[in-house]
Amino acid sequence: MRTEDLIADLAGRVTPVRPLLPPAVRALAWFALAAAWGGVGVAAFGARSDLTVRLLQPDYLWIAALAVLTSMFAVVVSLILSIPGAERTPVLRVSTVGILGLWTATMVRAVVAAGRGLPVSTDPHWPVCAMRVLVVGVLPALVLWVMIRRGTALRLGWTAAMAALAAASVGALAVHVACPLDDPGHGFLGHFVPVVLAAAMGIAARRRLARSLAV
Amino acid sequence: MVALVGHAGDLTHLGNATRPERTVAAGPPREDAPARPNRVRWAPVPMTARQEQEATALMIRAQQGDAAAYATLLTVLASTARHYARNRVGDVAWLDDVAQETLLTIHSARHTYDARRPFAPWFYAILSSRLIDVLRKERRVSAREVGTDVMPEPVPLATPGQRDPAVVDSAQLKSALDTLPDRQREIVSALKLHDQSVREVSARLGMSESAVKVTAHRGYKALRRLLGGKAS
Repeated sequence: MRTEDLIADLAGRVTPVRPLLPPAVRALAWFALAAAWGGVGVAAFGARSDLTVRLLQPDYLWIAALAVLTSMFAVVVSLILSIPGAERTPVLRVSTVGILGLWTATMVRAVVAAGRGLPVSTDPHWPVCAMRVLVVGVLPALVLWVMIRRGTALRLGWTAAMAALAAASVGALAVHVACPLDDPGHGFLGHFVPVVLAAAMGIAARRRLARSLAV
Repeated sequence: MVALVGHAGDLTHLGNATRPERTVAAGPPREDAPARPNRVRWAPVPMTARQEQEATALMIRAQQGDAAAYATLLTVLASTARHYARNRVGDVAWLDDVAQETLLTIHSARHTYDARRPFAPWFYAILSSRLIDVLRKERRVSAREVGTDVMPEPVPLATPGQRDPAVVDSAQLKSALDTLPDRQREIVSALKLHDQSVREVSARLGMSESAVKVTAHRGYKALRRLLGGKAS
């Protein structure tokens, strides 16, 4: 097909379109929905009985804050990346990775400080928490996926990883509020690893996503 | 169309918006060297304020459904895309592929352009991405395909005058095509007889690429059945 013919064809089929809202606005809408859904998750699992006490303790709050920040940054980045050329600087992306790194360091440090290693086979509860993180993250991930599909993501690996990270972080936060176990090894395996796993799955699935997005 | 020419005439300078530094190519290319593109350099080249303003105005009108403005914009952007690609990978045969892929992406992504933001980063992000895609595709193809200058001689049939049973004549194919449902026939014809890409067909028919592939696959299966397993 000649380029002139393609232009004539595309121009002949052009219809009015409504420009997408800015990524920050869409991120806010998503985060409101994800927070509400996380609340539903906490209600379904039941909040830990000593929540009011734990909310006053810095170590507990610090991990909750890291989960919230990771989710907020990651959703903004994923929506920015779904708009061609909207990412003028990689600062936000680097910051998100930095926050995830901080979260990783916090979890690893806690495990090392506890000196008990990872309870892979001794703790029967961590797989339950891991599943809960992923279950709570599914709906926000689907909603975010639809939002990203409305854009045109050109960096699929990053977009998918950030979207999965944002959604799984909401799940991790919900489980953090619900789970009564404070063992660092349990927190690492059951609450944190699924988040990293979700992000890795996002990267791994980028080719499939490319076909789905058809960009 | 007259109006389009008028528009394009005013905006032809947009097509020369890029004055990128040519990359690499240390010394002249060897005579016997295969046509391998140079290393690609990705820094986007900004448009001038005037070009930016004009492109933005055209894009806003295109988003409102103004076909004339859209055609003008696409004409200019196609030229810019060719120019940009030529400056980065040399005078290769597939410059038009880059331009067309870019236009198709612009068409499907035109709602993502925000008029409050500059046009150039949006456009060059798409263009760079499509250039990389086409470059990768061309490298894959050139690694697997044999050039026509070294094409092996066709093997003659066992008996002179005997027809190869695997060969289907065009009349048979046409009558088999005619029996397919409209959508299948249209897609198979576009892909196999008119050499259009899946992307082009999906954009033209307003279907997803996956749906086009599935419909084409069903069409091939039906054709194979109709032709008695000959059309492989």
